[in-house]
Amino acid sequence: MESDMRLRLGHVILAVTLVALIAAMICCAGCPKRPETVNVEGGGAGPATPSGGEGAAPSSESYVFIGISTGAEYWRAADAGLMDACEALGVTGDFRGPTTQDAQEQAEIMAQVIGMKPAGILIAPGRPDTLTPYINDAVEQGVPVICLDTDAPESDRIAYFGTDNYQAGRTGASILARLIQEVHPDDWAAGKTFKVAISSRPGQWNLDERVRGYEEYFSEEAPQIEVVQVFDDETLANRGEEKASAVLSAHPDLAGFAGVNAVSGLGIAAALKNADAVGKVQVVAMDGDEGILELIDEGVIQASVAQRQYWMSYLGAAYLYGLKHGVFTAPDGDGVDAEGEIPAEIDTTTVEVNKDNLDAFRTPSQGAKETMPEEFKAVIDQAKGA
Amino acid sequence: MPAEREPEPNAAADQEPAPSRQPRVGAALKTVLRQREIITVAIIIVTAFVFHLLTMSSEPGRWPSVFVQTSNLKSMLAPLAMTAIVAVGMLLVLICGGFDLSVGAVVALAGLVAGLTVKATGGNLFLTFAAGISVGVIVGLINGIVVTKFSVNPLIATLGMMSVARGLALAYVQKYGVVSGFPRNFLDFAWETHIWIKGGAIVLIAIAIAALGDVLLRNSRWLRQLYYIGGNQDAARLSGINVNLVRASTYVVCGALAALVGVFYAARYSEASAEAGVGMELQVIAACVIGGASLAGGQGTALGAVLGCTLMSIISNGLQTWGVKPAWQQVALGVVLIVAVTIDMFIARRRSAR
Repeated sequence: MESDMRLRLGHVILAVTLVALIAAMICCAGCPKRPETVNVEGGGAGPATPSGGEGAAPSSESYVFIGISTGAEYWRAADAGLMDACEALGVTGDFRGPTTQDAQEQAEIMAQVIGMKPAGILIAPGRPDTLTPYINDAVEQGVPVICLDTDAPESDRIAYFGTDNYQAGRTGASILARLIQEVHPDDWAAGKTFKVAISSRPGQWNLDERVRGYEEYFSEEAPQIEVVQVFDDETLANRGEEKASAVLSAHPDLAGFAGVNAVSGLGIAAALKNADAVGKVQVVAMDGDEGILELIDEGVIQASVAQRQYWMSYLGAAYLYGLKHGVFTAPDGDGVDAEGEIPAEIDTTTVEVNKDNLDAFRTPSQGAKETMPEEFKAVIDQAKGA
Repeated sequence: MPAEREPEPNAAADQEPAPSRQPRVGAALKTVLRQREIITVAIIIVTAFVFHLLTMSSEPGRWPSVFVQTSNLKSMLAPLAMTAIVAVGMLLVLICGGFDLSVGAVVALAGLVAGLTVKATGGNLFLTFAAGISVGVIVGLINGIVVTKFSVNPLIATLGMMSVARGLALAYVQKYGVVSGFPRNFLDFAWETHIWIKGGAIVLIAIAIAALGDVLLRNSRWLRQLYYIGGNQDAARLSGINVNLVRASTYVVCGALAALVGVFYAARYSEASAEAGVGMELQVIAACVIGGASLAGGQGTALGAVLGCTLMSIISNGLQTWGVKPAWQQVALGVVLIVAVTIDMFIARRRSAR
């Protein structure tokens, strides 16, 4: 029948098209990569590098940074650090991550990225245990990995650059203690006890470390300060407000609040505004998101502990590049940073943001760029083999 | 269930002398007690009393309990107002037998748009709210069309829009960062004291929306159609109701209300981010169900939705003031939710069986 024949012809065309598509894909997968564009710039130690961005074709040498999530403002500075370093080096930088802090999702993304065979991977593992096998897999396949911001110490990553979360907590605690002492000098001198509460997400490893830093600092250096509550703000400003308000109701004589994730400060601030307790309760927040800066400016939050995510990824990219191009060697684990050896750990430290210096933090990378130590800046030049 | 009405007095009664005040008051009382919301009100009162006992303070000169302090109760109002407004919107969708999982994402996206608008216009509140709410209207329209015209399951359709809206918000924030540094008048509008409550504007708006929604759901022809559609969609269509139009409009209203909350959210917390409102959709659905809505549709009142939000707010605040550790707070909240809804269902079933 004619209609049957037409039907069969249509099916055949469809089948042939699909097979052709599949064949084309298989072919492409087997094709060699587009070779790196290399301009030879005279002699010199190590391989030459493409001139920075001027008319050179984009390099296929890429460094990928996988963040804990892509949604948080925090990672923008890290992204900026990566991009600035890659631009200076003439390579490609790529920032990826799950939209929420889902470590499983991050692991899947890591698996994909490994498949792309980048020149190096930088990762902030959401849960060290979950990501360790994937990091090891990458290293096994010849892709070096450096951990940033959060470490996976049991894995085969070659180095960790970041803020020690525990130290960040201790820094915050010292700031809060200082603020309370400044506001209540007589009571402090008389040995009175002061109550504080900490807004966190209990169970999130890096935040638990910060809380530990707060608690241990207080018990060791400022025993007059008592942490009465560590509460869950669910990384949401409105839930944080509700909880902070409840804590304030239960402890009307509360002297201080600490927030250990970037959103904590927002909820605390709203609770204080609501209860007309601005200035009566001292607040130390975390990181320098614009909202936090605004609240510092308004005087609702007194200070924030800002990390140097920009430095982390800047250094990470620079060292990985140097490793790939034979300028640096991986740390040999002897505890000594020899010449040309990548440091096994770099503490990028934290900085106190308060009313005096907050303008420098308005642009996520501005403050970090301006205050980057010379030896960090020098790493890029070393990596280029200059 | 539509609100029950008093049965008409029969003709024989007309011949009797005019009824004295006592029976009329008694009849009114009976009507109130017959309302399903009474169960939720009772649960709220009992829960509040429990927390009152648990947080009793032994210090002289202080309030008898931490929980029942004016300052504590007042502190719950503004966040509760935000949830309640979204809940009323969600209720309309639920009554029609649908779901809207995109409300949380709309809160974030509308907040971003409003934040950008208020900064660009130097504080024009009218344009800011218009811009923010239109985000919700657009998302609601898409939800409505996809669910009615393309007959996509509402759970899936709104889940998809949730992803799209959240993704757009994330895309913006990743490139340009969160939006902050709002003009003073925007912040003041959100924080000014009304009816002795700081940030009272949102509370007043919530009361107005809840009251309007409740009255319209009980009395207006347009909103009563929601119950018929929720009860039996085909029968509703056969009786001449434009089912698609009505259903779609519930998504639009829900989106608009979520967007309204999103604008206030940005002002209240001085920041518009991509992470606002995460998880709100499920909380709000739970609140509606506690208040008497059915996941199968055809049931629920605005008053019930607000009461459901209130109960959840009280439990959350009570557990925190009592000092329960965060992990156990989650367990407790879940247990109370299950118990409250079970009691609710049990009593309601017994009543309808009578």
